[in-house]
Parts: sequence; C-alpha cells; structure tokens
Amino acid sequence: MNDLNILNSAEINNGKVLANGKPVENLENDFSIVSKYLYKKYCKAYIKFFKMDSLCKLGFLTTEMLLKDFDTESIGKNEVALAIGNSNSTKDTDLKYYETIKTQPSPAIFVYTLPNILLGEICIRYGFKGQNLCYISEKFDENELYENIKILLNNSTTQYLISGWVDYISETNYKSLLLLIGKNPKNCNFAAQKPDMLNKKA
Amino acid sequence: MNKRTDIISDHVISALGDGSEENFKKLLNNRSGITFHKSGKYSDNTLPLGAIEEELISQRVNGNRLPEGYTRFEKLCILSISEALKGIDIDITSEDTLLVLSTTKGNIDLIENPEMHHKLDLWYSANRIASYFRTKNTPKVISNACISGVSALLYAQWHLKEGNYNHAVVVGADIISKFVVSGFESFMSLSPDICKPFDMRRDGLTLGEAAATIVLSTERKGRVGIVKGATANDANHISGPSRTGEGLYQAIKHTLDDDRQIDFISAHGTATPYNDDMESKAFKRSGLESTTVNGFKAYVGHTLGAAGIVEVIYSVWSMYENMIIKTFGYDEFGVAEKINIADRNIKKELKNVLKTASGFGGCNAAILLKKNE
Amino acid sequence: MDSLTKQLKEQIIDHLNLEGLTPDDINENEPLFGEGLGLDSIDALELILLLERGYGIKLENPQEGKKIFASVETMAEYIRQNKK
Repeated sequence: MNDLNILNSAEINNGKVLANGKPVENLENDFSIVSKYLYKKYCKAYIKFFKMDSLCKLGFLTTEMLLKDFDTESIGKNEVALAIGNSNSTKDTDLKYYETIKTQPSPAIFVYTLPNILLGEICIRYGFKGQNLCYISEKFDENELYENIKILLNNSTTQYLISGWVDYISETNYKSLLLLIGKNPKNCNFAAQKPDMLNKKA
Repeated sequence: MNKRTDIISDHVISALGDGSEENFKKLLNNRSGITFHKSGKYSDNTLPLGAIEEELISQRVNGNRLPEGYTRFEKLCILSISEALKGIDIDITSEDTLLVLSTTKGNIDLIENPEMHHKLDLWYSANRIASYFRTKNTPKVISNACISGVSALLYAQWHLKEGNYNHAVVVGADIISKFVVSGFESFMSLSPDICKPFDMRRDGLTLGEAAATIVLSTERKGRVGIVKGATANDANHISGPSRTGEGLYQAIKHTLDDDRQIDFISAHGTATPYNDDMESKAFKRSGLESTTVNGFKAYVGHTLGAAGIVEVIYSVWSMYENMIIKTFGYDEFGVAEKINIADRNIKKELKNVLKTASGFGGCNAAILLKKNE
Repeated sequence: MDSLTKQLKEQIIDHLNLEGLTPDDINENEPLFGEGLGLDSIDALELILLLERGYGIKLENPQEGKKIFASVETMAEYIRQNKK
C-alpha cells in the first residue's frame, strides 16, 4: 500500500461512514434510511439516485464521500478508470427481479442485474470515460485490490483510478471501500489514516 | 513489460456445435445455429435462440467422465477448458497459470429453486471449476456485462505482461435462462426473427448460449497474439448506447494508437437499432469506415459473457484461414454512418484484426489481434 | 388537480422508484422525459406496463409513447380517451 498514491478514501460499513479513515457518521439504521440520510446530507440533487438499486446507491454514496473535496472538473475525465469488485454481485436485485417475472417482468429492475452497472452509474454522474474493470471474488482481499490497481495503472493511460469494494447483501449487511488513486506521485496528498477496512487486515 | 501474449489454444461449444473447428466450418458455410423454440421453458412466445444441443453436452460429460454435482453452466465451462487444454503443454495446476472466468449471470437458471441460491454466486462457480482442475491459484471472475469476455482477456493479458503468471486460461460462458430472456423481452429488445446485424430492417437481438476458452501464454508460441486493448465508458446511460459512439471511440483510440492498418473488424453487432448505429459512428470517428466489418451474432446469438471470447476465437480462426466471414442476417445497409459490412465471405490476408464489444452500463472494449510472422 | 392526475403521479413515483418525490413535486404540464423529470427509455417501458396493467390499455406501437408520455397531463388525457 505504501507505494500507492492514495489521494482519498471512503468507507460505508453498515451505517458507519468513514472519510480518509476518520469516522464521519455512525448511523444505526437499515440501508434504505441510511442511504436517504447520506444522500440528503452529502449529495447535490440527482434524481437518478432514487431509481438505482441498493448496490448502485451504496457505490454512488461512497463515491460522493470519496470525491466530496476533490475537484473532478480539473482533471482529464477520459483518463479516470474504475476497478471495483464485490462478492454478491447483484444477488439482492436478481431476487427482486425474479419476483417480478411471476407477474410482469420489470425492465427498471432487470437493468440493475449486472454488477458493472454500478461502475456505469458512477461514470455517468461524473463523466468519467476511462477503463472499467468489474470483478467478483469470494472475499475482500487487500492483495487483489493492489494487484488490480497495479495492472491497470501499468497497462493503460489511466491518470486517476477509483478502486475498491462495494458489496450489498441486505438492508443490514453492506460494506464498501473506495480509494482514489493518482498515478502521478506529485498529486499525492494523502495524509489521512489508513482506511478502516484495510487496518483490520494486515 | 513487452512480453508477447500468444493465443496457444481455444475451444468453443455453442449452437454451432462442439469445438472451434466444427464452429468455424459452419461459419465458412454461412450456417446459423439459431433455431426457433416454441413457447414454454423460457418465454410465452416462440423465440429464435442460439441454444446448445443437450446431447452434445451429455456426450462430452460422458466422454470426459465428469463426476456428478456440477450445474449445467459449470459443466459447460469444465468441458470447454478440458478441450482447450488437450494437446498443449500447460499445467493448469501450476502457480504459473491463472484461471479467469468471464460471465454475466453464471448459474442464474437455479434462481427458481431457493435451495440452490448459494450456487448463484459467480465466485462459487469459479471455485467449483477451479477445484475440478485442482488449480493452485484462486480463480478470478470478470463480470462486465457484454464486454466481459474482452475485458477478461485484457485482464489476463495485463497479468501476463506484469509477469504475475506465464499462462492464463480464460473461459467465458453464459446460458439461456428464463431470467435473462424475460428481461430482454421486458426491454422489447428481442427480434422475432434471427437477428439482422447492421441491416436496415434490424429489430433487435437474438439470445444464445456458449462456453468458450482461450489459453494465453508468454512462454509458448501461437500463430496469433493479443497486442493490446482497452475498455472505456460512455458516461451517458446505463442501458442505452451513446448517441455519438464516444466510449467505443475512446476504447479503439487507446487500442490502436496511431496504427490504423487494420485488415478486419469483428464488431459487437447485436442488431438492436441503437447499438449498430452507435458502432458505425465510433468506427467512422476512428477513421475505420473503409475497413471490412462483420458481426457474428446471427450465427450463435448473443452469448453475453461468452460473446467476447467466442468472437475473438472466430476472429482468430478467420486469421488462420485468411477469410472474413459473411455477416449472417445482413441484407441491406442500414446504419447511421457509412461503413463497410462483410456481406459475403471475403478472402483476404488478415494480419491485424480489431475486435470490439459494448454493453450495458455504458461499457465498451476493443482488443487488437496480430498474426505472428 | 383531478383525481386521475393525482393517481397517475403517485403511480409514476411508485413504478419508476422516484422515492424522493411527492405528487406535488411533479408539474403535470412539464415534460416527463429529457429535462423536467429526466426519465429515460427504461422508464418509458415501465410507463407502457403501467398503462397496460393499471388501465387495460395496450400500446401496440411503442413509438406512440413519445406523444402520450410527453407530460402527466397528456398521459391522463390519453387514458380518459382510451380506457375501456
């Protein structure tokens, strides 16, 4: 982790929200309440938010926290890449969609049955047009996270990378960690604490 | 960093049959594997589908003495990998070999049975497949909608170029299910007929299923290698393709640099009105309007997470044979920008081939294949 | 606002997951697509289903949707004329 230029980090872990390793919110509610609260408090009006499934909302909110003090307008958006993984893919939404098949299949739910839609929503929100890598692993693995960052930065023109883990299982069980990485060490100003999710491991 | 990543073996099982050679023979003869399925299992409507014959699977299952306990999806992956490993000197159990699974929905047919829900996890299938082959490394899963296959090949290539592994076995698969069929029906994006890529009268896609494997190596030599590739997002809409072809244009730009000597493009060509228009715009913007383009979707259907691997294999065989395969289903030109669609088989020396893909989530991918001298 | 207009607004909010909104936030004369509510092609499909299931009106040609779904008011008018 030491040779990475981490500019910012954000985590949402079952109502506990951390920015750059420091706690900013400690909510004890289900995700539907937590997500609305965070949206109202931290996000500019964005009506598409309400149409997203829970996985996308989780990824969206984590990105909002990640980039809240970062000027995304000052960077080349074609060179911002995303590499995000999780364990449960879109299982929660798959089951919701499957329920609709029995009566009337819902296109608005079906569209969220692909995990990379989460990357798409973030790209649309900020206009990022770089590389997209969406992967599924049994468990969050710090080494895999770094490995993916490294191969992406070394094999593409990526200047900034949003990388991490966004996993939604249920209303009371969800977890995310996103890092903003800069390729150029000069841009690095990460003075914060190590993200919580990475501290526990090691 | 400048290691060559060659394709040293491949295998496809699809609606066109079992084995890359068998598939390619039918492509050369312009035979589609898509058949009409009466209402029932997948839909209330009669639908054209690129389905794999069950008999083919059971023959292979018996032939390979595959033990019980694998799902249909996992069986297809195992069979395809087993066939691709035959006759090459690669140890899949070695620390030097990476296994990558490309899929969008894996065992999604099992969603109908709550007792099987633990098998819906994509990593679960990957672990089952990996433990069948006793791989030392944890298998990786790439799930990036319809660009999954190309994305998985790029991901594997990056690992090989970094020197993390010497070989990679990349398998892509997706099966036809009620889940996916009903979803595309709800989008009103399925054609009642076999799809017609780039045609004036195209009216939607045809779904298919396949499992396909490519073995990449930096140590063994193959006749065709992967040069490089890139993915890019449209940043426009989660389900609708960009109206300007922006993401695909970016992906191609990063893949080709200033080298525009492309002999043939294997396009995504789903045959939905918007997708094919978008591709024509991206090719035009990339200065590729005179390059011959084909689409393979009317031969086997859109096989989602397998499509990228299947179509790279078809492109590689086209390079072996120096033959661009006719775009089946295409009759009359009908996309937004004038591009050069292969309306018949074309004999041509194929040295550099570009494969592209685009998918939901606004994702796009391009990969450059090169024949080794 | 008549009862059909209000009901439609509630149904649109419900069907299209516009949770954050109340019927009062939607102006029945403002465009539903593009600017205004910012709905998209997937939402159009959901509105077609809403007409079918909620009002027994089947849209044979999805292209018609453009005109019908211009605003809540045009939708209400179409329902008044075509409801069986």
